[in-house]
Amino acid sequence: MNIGKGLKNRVFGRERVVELDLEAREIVGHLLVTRTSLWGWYGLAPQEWTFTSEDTRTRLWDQNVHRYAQLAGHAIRVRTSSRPFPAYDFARKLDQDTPNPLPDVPGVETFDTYLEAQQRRLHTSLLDDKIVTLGVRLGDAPPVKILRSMVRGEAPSTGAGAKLLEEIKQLNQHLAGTGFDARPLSPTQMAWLMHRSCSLGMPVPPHAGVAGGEWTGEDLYAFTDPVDWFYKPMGRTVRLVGLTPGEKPVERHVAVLTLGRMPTREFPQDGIDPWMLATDRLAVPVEWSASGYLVPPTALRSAVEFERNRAENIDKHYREHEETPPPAVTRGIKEAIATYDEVTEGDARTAVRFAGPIRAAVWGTTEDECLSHARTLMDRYGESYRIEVAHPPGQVELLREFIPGELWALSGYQRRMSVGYFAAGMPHVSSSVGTPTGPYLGYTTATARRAVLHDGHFPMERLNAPGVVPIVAEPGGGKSTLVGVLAYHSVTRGQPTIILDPSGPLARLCQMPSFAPHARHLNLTDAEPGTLAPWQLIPEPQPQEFRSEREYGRAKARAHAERKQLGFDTFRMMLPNTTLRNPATDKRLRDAIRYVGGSVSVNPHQVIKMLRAGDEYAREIADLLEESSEFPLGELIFPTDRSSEFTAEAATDKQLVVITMPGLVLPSPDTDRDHWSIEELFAQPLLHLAAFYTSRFIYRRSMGERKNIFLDESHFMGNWGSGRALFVRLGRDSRKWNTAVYTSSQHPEDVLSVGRVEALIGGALVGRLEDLDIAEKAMTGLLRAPKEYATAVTKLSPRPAPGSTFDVSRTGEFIYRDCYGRVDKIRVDRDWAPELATVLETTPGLPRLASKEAPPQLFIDEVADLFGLGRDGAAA
Amino acid sequence: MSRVPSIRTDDAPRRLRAVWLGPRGHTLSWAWEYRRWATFGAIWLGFSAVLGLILWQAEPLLGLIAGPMWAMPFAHLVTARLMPYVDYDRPIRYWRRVIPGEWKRSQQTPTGERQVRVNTREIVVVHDWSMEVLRTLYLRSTDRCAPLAQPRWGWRQ
Ligand SMILES: Nc1ncnc2c1ncn2[C@@H]1O[C@H](COP(=O)(O)OP(=O)(O)OP(=O)(O)O)[C@@H](O)[C@H]1O
Ligand SMILES: [Mg+2]
Repeated sequence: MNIGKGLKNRVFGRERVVELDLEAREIVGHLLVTRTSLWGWYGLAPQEWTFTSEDTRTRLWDQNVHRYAQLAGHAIRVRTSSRPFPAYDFARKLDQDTPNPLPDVPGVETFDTYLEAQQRRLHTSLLDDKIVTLGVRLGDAPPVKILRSMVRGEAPSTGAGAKLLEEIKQLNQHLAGTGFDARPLSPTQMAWLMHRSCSLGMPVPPHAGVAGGEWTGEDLYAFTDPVDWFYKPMGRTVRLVGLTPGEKPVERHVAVLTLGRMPTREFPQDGIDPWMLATDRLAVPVEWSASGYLVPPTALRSAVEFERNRAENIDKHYREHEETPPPAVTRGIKEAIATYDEVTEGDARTAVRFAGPIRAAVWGTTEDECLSHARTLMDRYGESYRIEVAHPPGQVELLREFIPGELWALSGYQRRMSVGYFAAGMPHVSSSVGTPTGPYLGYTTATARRAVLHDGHFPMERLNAPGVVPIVAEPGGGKSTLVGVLAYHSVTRGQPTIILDPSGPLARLCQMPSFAPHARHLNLTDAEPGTLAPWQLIPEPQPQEFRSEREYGRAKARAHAERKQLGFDTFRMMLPNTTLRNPATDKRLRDAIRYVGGSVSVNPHQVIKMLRAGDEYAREIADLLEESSEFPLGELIFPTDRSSEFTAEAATDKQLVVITMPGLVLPSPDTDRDHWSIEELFAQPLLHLAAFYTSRFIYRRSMGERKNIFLDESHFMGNWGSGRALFVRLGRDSRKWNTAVYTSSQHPEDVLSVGRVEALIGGALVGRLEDLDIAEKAMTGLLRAPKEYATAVTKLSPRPAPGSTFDVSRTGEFIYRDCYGRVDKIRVDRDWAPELATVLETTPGLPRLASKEAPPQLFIDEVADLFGLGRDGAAA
Repeated sequence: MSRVPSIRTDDAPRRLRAVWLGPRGHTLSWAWEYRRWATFGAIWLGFSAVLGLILWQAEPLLGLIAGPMWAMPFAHLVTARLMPYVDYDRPIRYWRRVIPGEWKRSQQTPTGERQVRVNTREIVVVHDWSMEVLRTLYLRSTDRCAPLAQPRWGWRQ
């Protein structure tokens, strides 16, 4: 018994160290020379996938198939890896892009804290950038002489050298084509890839770059020396120990999995993601290595013929014994014949085959963690892709395959598939959305988790596009939270910001210690009489804004027309539906307004006076309007005396102004106007005019200065001509006046009724809309994505299912169309700034709950489960 | 764009394995693949030889007859135990590579005696793509790197 155990221990139990003797001999630029071969390494550019139409997907896939098919005869290796989000770089750029941050308030948050909080968030989350590289074997290792002359940039002296150079050029060009958009890796990137592969799962040491673009002989030890690989024979994992001098050794357990059988698919119609993409959704880091030959049809022919014959003979054998052959045989014959046909008669796209093993590596800090990650991966593939994933012994050899230039096994788990299937892996489709620079808004959640940056002024300053961004979601969809986060960023960055928030929760931003001295809370219900007088709300164009007298004249005429329209709409809003149905009403109103004209100095009382001078029906209307003007707050619209230029100056001395209208009873967008109470009826023109009041803010600062306007709860805007005109004007002026404008409402129609919105908006954010019809409108109109994805909109920020509690990690989800027109699902992140989170909380009782139950540092909830943080955190 | 036909791997025909159904016209009640017959045969031969030799010592005739006979159930048992490990994705060729490989090309003792090799190249710190980025924070006031108290890779522990 004991002897047996001892023997077993001797044979299996003792850990061995691996002699990491690399195949690589030399690295020159993006070329890797091994003992026998010359490889070129390329980085594939991210491609769009989520929320794109089937045609776009098919086209992308087709381009990929073509690129691979053209590589027939080459060995290739697709290697994906990830690198941490470059938070340092992000912060540096954000800082450089913020010339005048909000002045410090003694004792509280400074701009540094703001930068730091975002960086910490980005550091501690799993928001990695994905790197997809492709190695192509160019041929046998060239003589050293040729390589040397190439490095020195000399013209090749021999025919072989010239040929090689030509080949490399051709390959570079081919891979740079659409679908791949690949670039040769830089020497630094090569070094990084080598490091990453030798020390999988470990942080790459600081000296991952070397001066110059060439690595020879001894230099290559720099990749293998800092790490030791340990394994037990027939073990499940490889233990990697990183030995950075002067630091604590870092340990990782790595398990390499390999793909088994893969199902027949309809791609991309079946709606299942590309098969290499599933790992992006796991909260587990995974790296891929697919190595093999792209077999040209001529080399395949005999093998395929053999397979067909064998299948037919097996069938014949069963029949000789008068037995029915198993269905697998029949199927095999059918597919063998199809394959034979593809290989002998098909074009390159169908004929070329990829043959080789496909591996995925996962790691953890302990063996248990690593194995549990492996199980997660196997489970995901089995469940949603029907792909078998095996975890075979011989881990060291498998792990070696991840290092560029290493050989791969030619027996066991060899996959052979058409390039079409291989291309359907699409590891390089990614979820990049947002602006290249700017503050951190949140992260994508559809496929992979990537950080999303959003700079509202990017479209105007860089793309010459308008900066209006409509935000549409149902109540509780997270609109106000989003507005709060955006405003927090812009104020901290020192940009003048104005928020119209009728119901008022965002006014709490003004009380934040760091903002308090720079903020003003304007209560419109306390404002001077005449603050919302329609004729004064449309700014008078200034001659210096225009290039010619004619343009100026036209703008003035436009302003006059807009004033009259706004006055007309305001009066109509005050009238009950019964009166409005009479066509005579509009005529009387129009006549009266035409008479008083469209200059800034008009007082609404003049219109009533005009009506009184009219016929009996006109006097009736005048009575109704008179009555409305006597409502509380009526004096805002109907000043008793000739109103002075109103008090918008109050808004220009502070960075943050929040305008609220407490006590106003806002009508619900869902109820019919016929059923509105008089209070609701009267609230509407106030709300409408408040939006105009707020948007005047644009013209109070210099044109080039970055400004921000937020119109929360701007429902019904699109129902009225003046509202649509305002939207058009905002779209036009946002670019000229460098103002980011965000309007939030509950219905996409509020924006879509304006007409050609695509020319007016620089992006859109759509949150949960439970009604499918409405969701479809938002999807096609605002996001300009195919209608089929509308169900995604209905499932955003889901309400808790019966019996379960509120899932905080699924709140604040939006579908975001950025200024480039890319669309992806994101979650707005507000938790990196604790101060902000408390200010923006509108769910009753939630802060209490969160502080007690949520473990610290929880970002991605799946991670909590995986690492048992949820339980331990609560216990601790 | 026209509908694209379905995509598939070439597995179906390649997975097929011929079975031996017995002599012509007499189908056996079990269907073993040829490679299983071969494995069984090889193991049986081996066992028979060993058993036969042992019995030969006592009685040559017993060795000749009883050896192969007794070896047969053993061989069957061992084959039945081994065959689940051999399939399309793990052919015998694969095991012939993996098993010796696990005990080859490695040192028994993981000691720190390995020679320390000196890198001859000048090493420079590159900010992008490197760990340096991970451990530092960018701050405006100092315009320099400040150490990050909680390194990114440590937070899971
Ligand atoms: N990004 C987020 N992170 C965390 N919680 C969020 C997020 N977004 C929304 N929530 C939660 O959802 C609640 C409602 O959000 P919010 O008040 O922003 O919705 P809304 O769309 O403005 O609703 P309404 O139309 O009624 O004003 C918040 O109190 C908060 O708890
Ligand atoms: Mg709200």
